[in-house]
Amino acid sequence: MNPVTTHASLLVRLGDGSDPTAWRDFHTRYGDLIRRFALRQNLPPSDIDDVLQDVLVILTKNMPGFQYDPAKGRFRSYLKTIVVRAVFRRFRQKRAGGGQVEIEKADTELASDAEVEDLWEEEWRQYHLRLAMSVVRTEFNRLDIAAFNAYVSQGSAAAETAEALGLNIDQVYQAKSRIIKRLAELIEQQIEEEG
Amino acid sequence: MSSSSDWFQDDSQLQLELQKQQRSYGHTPAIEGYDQLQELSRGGQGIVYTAIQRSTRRRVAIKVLLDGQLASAVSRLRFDREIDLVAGLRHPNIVTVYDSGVTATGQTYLVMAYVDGMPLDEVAGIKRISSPLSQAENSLLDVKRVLRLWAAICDGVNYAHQHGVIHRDLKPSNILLDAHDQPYILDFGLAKVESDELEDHLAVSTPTITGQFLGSVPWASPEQARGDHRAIDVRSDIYALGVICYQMLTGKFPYDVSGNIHTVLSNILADSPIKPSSLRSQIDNEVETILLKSLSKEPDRRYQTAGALATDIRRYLAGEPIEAKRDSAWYAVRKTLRRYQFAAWALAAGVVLSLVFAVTAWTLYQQTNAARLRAQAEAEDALVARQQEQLETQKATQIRMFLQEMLVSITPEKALGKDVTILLEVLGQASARVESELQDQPQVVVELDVIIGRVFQNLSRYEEAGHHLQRAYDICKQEYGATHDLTISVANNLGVLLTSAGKLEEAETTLRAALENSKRVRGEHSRSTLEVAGNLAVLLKQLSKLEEAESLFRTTIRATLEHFPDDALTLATLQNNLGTLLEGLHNPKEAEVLLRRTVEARSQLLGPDHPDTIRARANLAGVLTQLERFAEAETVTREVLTASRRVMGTDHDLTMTVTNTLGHLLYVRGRHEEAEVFFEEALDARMRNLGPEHPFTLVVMNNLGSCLQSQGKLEAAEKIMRRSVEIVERVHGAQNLTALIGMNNLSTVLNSQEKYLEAQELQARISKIAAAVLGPDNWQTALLQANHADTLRTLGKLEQAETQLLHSYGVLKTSLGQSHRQTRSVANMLAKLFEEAGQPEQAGKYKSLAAPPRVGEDAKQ
Repeated sequence: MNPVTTHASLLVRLGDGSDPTAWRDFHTRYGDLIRRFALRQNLPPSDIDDVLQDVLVILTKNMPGFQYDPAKGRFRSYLKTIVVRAVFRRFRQKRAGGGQVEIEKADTELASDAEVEDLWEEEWRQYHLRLAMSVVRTEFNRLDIAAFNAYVSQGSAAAETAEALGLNIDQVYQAKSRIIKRLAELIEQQIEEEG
Repeated sequence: MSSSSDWFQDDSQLQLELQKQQRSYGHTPAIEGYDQLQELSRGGQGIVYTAIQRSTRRRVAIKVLLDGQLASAVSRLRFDREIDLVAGLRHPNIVTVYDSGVTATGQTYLVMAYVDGMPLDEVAGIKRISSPLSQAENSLLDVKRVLRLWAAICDGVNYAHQHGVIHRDLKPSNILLDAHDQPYILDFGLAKVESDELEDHLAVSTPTITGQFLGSVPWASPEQARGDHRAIDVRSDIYALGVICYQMLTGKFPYDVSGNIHTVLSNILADSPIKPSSLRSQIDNEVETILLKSLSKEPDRRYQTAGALATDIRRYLAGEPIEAKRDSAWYAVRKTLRRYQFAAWALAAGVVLSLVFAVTAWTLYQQTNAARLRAQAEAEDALVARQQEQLETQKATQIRMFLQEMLVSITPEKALGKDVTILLEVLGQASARVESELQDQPQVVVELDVIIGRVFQNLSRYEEAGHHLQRAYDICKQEYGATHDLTISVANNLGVLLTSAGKLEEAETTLRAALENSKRVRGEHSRSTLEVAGNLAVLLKQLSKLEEAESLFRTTIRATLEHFPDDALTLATLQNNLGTLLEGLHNPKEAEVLLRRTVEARSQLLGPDHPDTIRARANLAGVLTQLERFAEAETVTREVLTASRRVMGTDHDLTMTVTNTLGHLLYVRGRHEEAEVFFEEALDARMRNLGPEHPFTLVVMNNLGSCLQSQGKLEAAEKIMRRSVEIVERVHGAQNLTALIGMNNLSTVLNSQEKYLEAQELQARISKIAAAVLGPDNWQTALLQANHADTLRTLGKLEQAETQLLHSYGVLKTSLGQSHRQTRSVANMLAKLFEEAGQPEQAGKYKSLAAPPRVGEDAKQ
């Protein structure tokens, strides 16, 4: 009953424009990526949902004519272009606003193009990592995940991690190697599907 | 594949990314009494950690609510409610809650039993939106095993129901299953908040609906799908239990839940469940009967308790005939029984409905309810006692009648939303009669003066109010002396009035005297001392003596908690005031917590339309604004404005304040033209009611000025700002925050008109005053001085500018952090300066310091 939503079909469904669940899926998949990226561009939190809306609107408008071709198309860079534009449009609107009532003289500089590019790449990697981690969480038991988080993500010592979780140290090492391996597999698949 | 795609193949790079991710979520919080926190999972509401409780050495799970941008006010409220509700439940199938609290960084947490298990949807092969990459095949559990699990889940739900707790969000992901096949129900208590959210979301178009909300819809009962809050009761949970079991048995929902939300809701309301036996052959007639009975659209036709459902499931498992079969007779009997059973509930709910604005299932929680009714009864008793006392002091019947009339008909709370003209007329008459008829009874005059004065005050008629209260105070001092109880109480009232009327110095003298006398005569921790202290703190805040105000608030709240813990209203007021103060001191998170508590307490004790409740909500809106949750703030503010206009009228102080707040909010959101309208309206009302010299009028002038400036109406802006600065200086002097803000705003207008010389002179003055008023190492002082330095740079005075900017940067870096917006804006000023000075290396350094931070590296402020 749960048709696997591949990436390509999500794009087709978005392009169709009449399937509201496509929006939800898009939101679930990319909402976090877009939000985080916008946050790091220093948009106030209140504007971030607006950016997300803008992106959705642009996608709806463009998708009917969008030919998905995994061989040449790279959805990632297409999405990046749209998101960056949406963020900057928001910014311009804000800056046109000017001063503040409180005591300050806001003079925030916009990041340069190269910085934006780096930021997007970083957020995109983080996005894939989150997606893969969410799958890993369903496949490994909770203590393995906790050990992995402590030992690998937080950089705690293996012995310390083992003690805190009531595991032996080999179990901690095992959790690390198994999960790392699985993450790499998952991310490779994800990126391939993304096109 | 480009090289950027290979990062995940390299273990150390992958680990680096993982650590980055960890940082971006912030550090593991420190929670007093618990060691070795390790993250277990993260969800829509927050992060769950495992930890060891120091005192018992037992392993626990701690759920910490996500804070900041990732959590809405709604989820925070939801979390608080969850804590209240679940804390008392102890059942083998419910995850026990041990403790709750707030971390040092202001995040709410909940400590519960650690269950080593998996969410039911992951175990039972029914995960709804299965991951595209998950390798696991959807494999269903054995029918008998499902039924045993189901019965155990029903036991837990039944226990909660018996304790007055309805879950209202039962779904497989809220149920954990351990290695011994024991289910544990999580997340009791979404209750009201969730259903409010349902309504909110139905009002808007579908694409913005969040996954978290949608996640719960398929398990909603028809009454929940209709949004009929009052129809929700224990039988709504029965329905959800039915959906859960249906899913575990068939792997499907009883009806199509795939389309958009409106379709799904209408399917829940109208579509009959697909016969489960047609989906899985092992499902026999009896199981199907139990299942379909749980899924009846009409609550009356479902099992009436989770206990009855559990019993029937166990009958089936034991091979006994099930109850659900004997439909007609059973139905008739049960229906009668139910009528009695639920009559009591309905009555309780009805009572609550009349007392509290929105009845919801969680109010059935007996303790909450009883506590509220008790508090109300006590408040009423106290009022009656006070009236009696006053009545006894009146000898003449005529006067007693008069007083009674006064108390009954002229309390402003009773006139909510009605025309106040008649009230004013009666007051005028009363006031005249006090003067002519009661000259020989000073105590009666004093008491009447206080009452009349306070009524006038509540109507924002400060002049009349002042007349009565001042007279009362004079009589008291003369007749009873300054240390008499009555004198202290009158002084307190007068002090509050003078504060509201903007006569701050007089107010300070009066209140400080009252506080000293009260401490001496009634003791440090007496109610009257605490009351006066609270009022003095409010005044100190207005006098910009912020530190003294904060410390006075905190000691007063502590003392009140210690000596009058049941006085929810006073606490609410104090928390409200500290909340608004903290907002000013840039501690909006604590402020929000305090103000939400205030709003809740007052809504329950006084009602949602009471002026004090409205006031607290207005303050909350202010804090939300400061937290940059503008959309939320705007909604609250517009509601408050409507309520305030309706209940108190357009010329009321609060209405004027809120009008200004809304203007400010629109302004901050960049909607300057809309904002101008509200600022104009607020200014007009304040000029009319308070006059041009009142501090509040001046605030609006400042705001209007900035608003005009933003629209490029520079001359008009300059004009109004000059006027405001001139009035502030004349009336209040220059040594205060209001004057500083006004002057600073004026200097920016001058700058944008390229009147740099005048701007520079003004800013030099501002810097000096700020250092004196706020302290030389205060961050606001630093900002003001940075503004000055930036103008100096424009004028080519680079050396002077450099010294000043470096100092400001140091202060801001220390107090706000390196990545704070303000700190970075000063870094940017420095970058420009060094560029002009021909020091590109330094310029580059500050340029990079001015760049936006990476999320997570300095999330804390």
